[in-house]
Amino acid sequence: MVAYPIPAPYREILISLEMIIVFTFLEISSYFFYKYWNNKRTGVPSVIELDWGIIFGCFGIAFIAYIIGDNFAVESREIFLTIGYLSLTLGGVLLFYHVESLKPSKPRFIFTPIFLSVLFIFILAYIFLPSILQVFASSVSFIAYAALISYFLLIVKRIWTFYKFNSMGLLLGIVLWFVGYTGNTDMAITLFNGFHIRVLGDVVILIGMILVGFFLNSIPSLGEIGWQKKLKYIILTTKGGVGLFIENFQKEQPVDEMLIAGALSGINSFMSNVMETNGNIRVISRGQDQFLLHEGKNVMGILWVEQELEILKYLLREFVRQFEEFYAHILENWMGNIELFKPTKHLVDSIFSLQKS
Amino acid sequence: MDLYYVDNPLRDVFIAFDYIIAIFILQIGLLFVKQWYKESKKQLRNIVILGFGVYFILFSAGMGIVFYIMNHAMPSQDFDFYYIGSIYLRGIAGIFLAFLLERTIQITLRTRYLISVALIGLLGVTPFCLNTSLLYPVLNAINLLLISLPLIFTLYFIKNTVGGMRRKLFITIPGFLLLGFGLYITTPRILEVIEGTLANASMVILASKFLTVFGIVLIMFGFNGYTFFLEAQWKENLIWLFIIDKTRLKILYSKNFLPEAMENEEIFAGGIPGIETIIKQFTQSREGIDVIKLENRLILLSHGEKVITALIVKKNIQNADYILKQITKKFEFFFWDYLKYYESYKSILSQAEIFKPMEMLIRTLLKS
Repeated sequence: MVAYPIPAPYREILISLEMIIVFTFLEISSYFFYKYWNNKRTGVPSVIELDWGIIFGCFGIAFIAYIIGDNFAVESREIFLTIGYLSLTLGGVLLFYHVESLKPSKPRFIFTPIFLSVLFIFILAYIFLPSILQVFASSVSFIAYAALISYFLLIVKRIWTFYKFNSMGLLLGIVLWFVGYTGNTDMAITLFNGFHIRVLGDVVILIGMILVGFFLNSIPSLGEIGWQKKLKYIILTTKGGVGLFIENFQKEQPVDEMLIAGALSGINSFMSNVMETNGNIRVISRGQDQFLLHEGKNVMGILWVEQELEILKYLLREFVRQFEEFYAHILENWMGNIELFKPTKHLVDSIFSLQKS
Repeated sequence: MDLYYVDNPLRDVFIAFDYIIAIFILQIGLLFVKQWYKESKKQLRNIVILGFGVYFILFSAGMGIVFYIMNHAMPSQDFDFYYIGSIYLRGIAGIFLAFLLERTIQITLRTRYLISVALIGLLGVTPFCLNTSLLYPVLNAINLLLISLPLIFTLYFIKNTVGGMRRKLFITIPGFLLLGFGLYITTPRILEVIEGTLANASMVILASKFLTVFGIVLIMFGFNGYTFFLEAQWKENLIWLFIIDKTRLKILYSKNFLPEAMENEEIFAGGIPGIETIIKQFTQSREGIDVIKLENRLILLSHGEKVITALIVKKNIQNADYILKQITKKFEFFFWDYLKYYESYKSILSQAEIFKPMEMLIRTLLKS
């Protein structure tokens, strides 16, 4: 049985470490909420920013409750523990409701009802059976970890190819965060016979946070994670403006494909002539429509997207390179038959991973 | 050496806050170093950003040492040694930043390395003042200089920015004041006074620590999200400005900011509205283009009712975007009658001088 309040010499160091954790969580949470709000204003909100704001915020609130309950209000510790558990579970409900409501396939809601039931069980346990509160929380935490790890894996998978190193760092940070959190439990303190395990747990959480903060910051924008949803069209033209291939990703806004191909290619040539040096257009930005342009040896690729992202620029370059490589012989003496380029559909599918979206 | 807050029930919370303050200051430093690293990859002039980064990192290390020795028992001579060490760390940070800033923006500052020399002088006399009544005045002077340094130079950057950027930088001013005030309260001498005289000393200390953290958050917010040094030098990024009549596809006014001329001005003027029309046609929207990014130039566009203003710049800077919108607004405001009743004023409009007053207006905007 663990005795509270936390005794010296652990008290000072644990309060210091855990307050640093609280401020770090709240800082990261505010950063994500601010980014979400800011992007929403400019018209390109990323739901990931909102989700992560919720996760970090809820962990921050939970830690505040634990610090108070374990150090300053021991007689009401159960209330503060319950507040902590409720904060984490509510975070789970909000996060998974948000994520699952965007799922196109059925069954849409799996984790949301699970977290919602846990929330009610916590409240009921606090009222009727406070003695089982911690045991229940410990068992539920494993399901929560599994759910959260799968969520983060899903997120990281989308940027794995382009930001492998960042993704690994991010995942390691998240795993350390959860491992460290386990070291904070009464079960761990009893098992390891002392508060040193909690100190270690806090240090591990902080290392995890540093990794998460560092690697998240190294990704140009969190919008990069949701890059597939930003795709509208990919257009391939000759430098003279003859459309070779077009793919509509959103299937909802039919446009005159040949007009786009010709127009953008014309605009590019116009700019090259007028601006003389280095006049080739890279991006045309217009509210929520961004046209990314990349000129190859023989063709020009145009990606019509909702946000200018580094991943999309990289993919466009890759697409043009692979297309020119694949059709090198045909392009040399092309006589105007666009039927020849029909297999480009498979190239688009493989580069833009459409089956996986 | 006596420990601080030793009888205070919130002692552990105060200690935790001290470390949070040191870590948050370190974060500001790391943010600047990261920005410097990113910009140096793009070969941008950015040594001052590194200066700010190193300044905040050393400052946080110095504060970390002070907080540690104030809260942990140690012999008096050790306390003095570490205390002086912490002052030197912060002082070196200050000298580094002051020197870089005085060297980089000496035309504006005209301080001729006075700040750097003053700091070196003060640090030089500090060990000799250790057991004298002069110690606190010297320390106060060093601390005042250290906190004023980033504050003064932030004011310089505020002076050289406009619009939203300026508003964001303004937020750092209360941040610096709160940080300075909060750190002043945590100096041993002031703490002794507070704990000895005030009945609710705990609350005062706690509030001051909260305010210090809040101040640091304001500084982080104010400096985050843009390359503030590049933004402060936005005027050097301007290349050409064109004000184009949307209907007649004619250049009404143009200005070269660099001594290089564009040969195809008129074609460019006709092309921009043409591009707009085409894009609008296939996106089925009335919104105009904001930016056209070329390989090493950007064309920023602003749309008025009668004119399109195009500003060609070297880098994407938010200040230029703000100025461009102001130019469009003011041009239409002053010359509205000419634009609206174009046909009646046709003969006047053919004279090049008609839009000459724009010269003064742009100069005023650039000065602001």
